[in-house]
Amino acid sequence: MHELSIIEGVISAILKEKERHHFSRVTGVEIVCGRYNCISESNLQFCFDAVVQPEWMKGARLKVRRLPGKSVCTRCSHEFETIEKGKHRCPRCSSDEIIDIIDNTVYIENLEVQE
Amino acid sequence: MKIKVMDKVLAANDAWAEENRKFLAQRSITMLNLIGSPGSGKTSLLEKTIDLLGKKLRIGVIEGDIATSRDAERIGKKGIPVFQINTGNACHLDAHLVNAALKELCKSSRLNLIFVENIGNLVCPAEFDIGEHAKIAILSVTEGDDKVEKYPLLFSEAKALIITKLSLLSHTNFKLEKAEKDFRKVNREAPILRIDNISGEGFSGWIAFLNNM
Repeated sequence: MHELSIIEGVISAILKEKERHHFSRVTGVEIVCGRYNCISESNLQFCFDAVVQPEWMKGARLKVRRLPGKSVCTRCSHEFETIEKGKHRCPRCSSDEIIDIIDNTVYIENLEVQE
Repeated sequence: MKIKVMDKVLAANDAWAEENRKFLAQRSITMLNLIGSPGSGKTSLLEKTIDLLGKKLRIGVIEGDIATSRDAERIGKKGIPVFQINTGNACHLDAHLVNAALKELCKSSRLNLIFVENIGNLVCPAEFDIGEHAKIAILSVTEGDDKVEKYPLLFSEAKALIITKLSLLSHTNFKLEKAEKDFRKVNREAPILRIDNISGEGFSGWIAFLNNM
């Protein structure tokens, strides 16, 4: 249940922003993560709905945006967007010696709020 | 109205991880985070490692499990300090849990190497920084050679890949070359160590790796 730890982070970020911006209601949360992070939008929403307490936070929709994966060619160092993990060639030199860069970032990009 | 936030979701965990790094640095302790499936041989690896290095280094172990203190009892028999964390239902150790365990473990012992045996799981433990110096990925040949491809996050973050249960290789269809090739696709530098916890085959490479940490 790592979703719960993530939701804990989401809720504390919302509380922090509420102190700063004094909005009346939060209606949406946009979360950005790496292509291979084990994060599912529906699981996160389920956890959020299950634990959220304040009335002004209830019903907010969580959206997850995945960053495109990045790959690097070990022969010519060309960096490009991952086409299909493990099954592609370098678009510049056609080498199949490709490293997929795995990005473990998870951050909250935006809050959708009502004033 | 939209508010730009750009806050890391696991900021609270990362702050505790930083605390742990400071705690370890002040005491010159190296901490390794062992991550692998249930039954991949993490505890056996530790038992053998303690047999080989326990006299040379002051080793401590933090055991993470959902339930039972079975692993801690196994390690405790080796006569080294061990602390059991039972998460109850969480699938991973986080930096805050490890902080409490570290303080407890270091209260009465001066250590130079701490192993954290994470919850048996290839998914969630990889997402949480606990302040370790290195994550070590453990993969047994009985799990199948497709696991590296299926769980890329852990294998990309690992500072070493240990392939265990080597003596069972001929009874499985595990292809070492496939697993190792997949590993190189997400991890360019970490060494790959093939070992057998029962016979001790390949342990010289693992011990050399630990001595270099």
